Amino acid sequence: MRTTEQPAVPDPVLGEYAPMGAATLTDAERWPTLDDDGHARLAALRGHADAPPWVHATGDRLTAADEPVLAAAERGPTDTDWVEALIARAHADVPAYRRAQREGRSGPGSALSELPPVTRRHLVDDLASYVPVDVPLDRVLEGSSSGSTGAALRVPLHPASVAADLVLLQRLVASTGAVWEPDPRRLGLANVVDQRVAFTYASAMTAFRRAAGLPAPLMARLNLSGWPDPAGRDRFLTGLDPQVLSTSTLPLVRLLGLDLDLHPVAVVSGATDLPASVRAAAAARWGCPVIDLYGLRETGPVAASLDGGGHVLVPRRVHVEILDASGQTVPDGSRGEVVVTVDENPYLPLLRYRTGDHAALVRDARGAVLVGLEGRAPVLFRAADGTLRPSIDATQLLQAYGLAAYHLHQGADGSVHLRALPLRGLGLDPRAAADAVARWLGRPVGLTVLDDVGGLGPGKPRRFSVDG
Amino acid sequence: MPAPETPAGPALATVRHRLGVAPPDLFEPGVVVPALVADLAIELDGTLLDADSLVRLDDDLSHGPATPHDVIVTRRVLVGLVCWLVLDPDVRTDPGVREAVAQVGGPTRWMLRIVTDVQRELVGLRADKDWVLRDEGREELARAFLRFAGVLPAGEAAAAAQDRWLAVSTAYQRDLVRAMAVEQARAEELERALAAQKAKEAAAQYANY
Repeated sequence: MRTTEQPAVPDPVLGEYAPMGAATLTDAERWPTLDDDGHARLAALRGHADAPPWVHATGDRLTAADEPVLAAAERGPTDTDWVEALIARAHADVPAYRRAQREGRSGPGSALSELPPVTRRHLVDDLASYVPVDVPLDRVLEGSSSGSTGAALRVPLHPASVAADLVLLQRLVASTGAVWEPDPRRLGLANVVDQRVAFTYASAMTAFRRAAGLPAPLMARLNLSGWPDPAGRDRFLTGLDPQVLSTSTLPLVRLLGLDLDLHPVAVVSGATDLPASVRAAAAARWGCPVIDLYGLRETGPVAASLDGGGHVLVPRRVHVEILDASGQTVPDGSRGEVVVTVDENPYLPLLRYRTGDHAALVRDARGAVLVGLEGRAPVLFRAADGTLRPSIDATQLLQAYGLAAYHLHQGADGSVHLRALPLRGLGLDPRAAADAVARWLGRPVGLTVLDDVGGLGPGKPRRFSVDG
Repeated sequence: MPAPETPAGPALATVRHRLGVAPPDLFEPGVVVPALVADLAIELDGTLLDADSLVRLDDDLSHGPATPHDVIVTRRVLVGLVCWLVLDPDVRTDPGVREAVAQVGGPTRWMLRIVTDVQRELVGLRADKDWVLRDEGREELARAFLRFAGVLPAGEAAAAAQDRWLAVSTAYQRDLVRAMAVEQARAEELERALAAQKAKEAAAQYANY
């Protein structure tokens, strides 16, 4: 594995991005079901002459016991009363609802609309109250969500529900008519980011639904800014020609700009709004379907837009309501906040989780559809040298410096100001966070320290904004 | 939690006082409690308890192969005390009680429901005589009685009555302590699980959120 060329992490607080700083398992533990041939193909990918310096190693952690979950993901849910069942189960096993029942606020027979919505803040402050007490924790994985409203959130994930995302992608790609079958000459999927630092790794997709006897396709998480030599990056991408490019808007734009000879069977974009122009450019360049996937780390996939005409709820146990500012359900067709009920991740079933994103809900032949989904706009800052820097770089810094919530703003004249609410009790100096942003952009950064989150204004706090 | 439209019944103090003057012979082992209940039914509305009702009472109040002697004695004491409360003219003539009685289909059905529910809720929670000798015992039994009688203590809103019931309910407090211990231990276990290196290494991600 090539790790030696990796430059030092760009900020002292980002130590977890030191090469292999977070990798501790053996390959047998990473892919318990992978055969010798699979391990050999994976070793070849890791050792590829133009491979990037891998920052991390991680697998899918799937065992044979996970197969029923993956098979269920392939079929999609068949029960129609799962919300009622989840409400009943939550009052027996989820501490927040056990308490509500003890205090007479709600019970196993309560209607969904009677339950108070859950916010990201609830999970940040008291995650354990939302994790069922009866599920063994021996397979818990730590997912993190930078989210769009402040402090980083640790999300307990289960290997089977993470892998079910892959099965869902297969279903979505198949629904467009595209053919995604194992092809040992190509990378099955590339998860493409473009950040100053990012976890990059190679993995085998043992969950991939395929005919018996076919090998598990390989995938890699790749950082377009993560190669010491751009020519090597371009050779790696064109040589392995990923079948599915799973990415988000800004890396997709960069990828289009690289003008490489790629032949994806599908592009999947997530995390941020996908402008029609970018969707059209990708479709025109590669002649393949472009799927805009909407979800949150906390909820997993919620809805997908296959054609730019609204996001259709995905075939999972996911239910969406639209609420107004006072928390009341609005009629179909009216805009409001997207609130998600989901029962897929055994470690974090959620009842009425407020996403902070906005849309209207309509129902048509495709099912329930989110129309006009807003709230995931990517933001670019202008560094002193004129380059544009994605806000995800700042998210990593500001969260690592212990800010509970913040708003970073760049004025039309380029000046930068940070309004910061430090996490209490850690003794951290928000000035250090501002200084780190100053080093990142090469610009001085003004600082206002806030006492409470109210200082960021009502509604969904915007973390990043740029004038002009 | 009682429904907000639950009628207001007698004052809590009335019921507590009545318990304080309960006849000592209710605690005597010789008292035939099923007969007490049957007599009360006749007095309330002339009902002759049917065989099913008596069998159910017998099941609760008789020695069976699986029921320890002290549990039976305790149940009989609680049923006797409920009968004593039902006999109280201040309770029986209360307008809220009359409303609750009408809702469940008559005085005997109302009385049998309280008899059954109170002994199931409170059995084994306190020494028998503490239900009348100790302030907190009288408070718990009086609140349980009104709760299962389908009325609120006079002057209390449903939410307040619920809060005060939970505050004095020995079973609730015991379950609460157990539940909180489970939840606390679980929170610590989750913290350890998330902090473990094998959790930190995470798993390959196929999509971005």
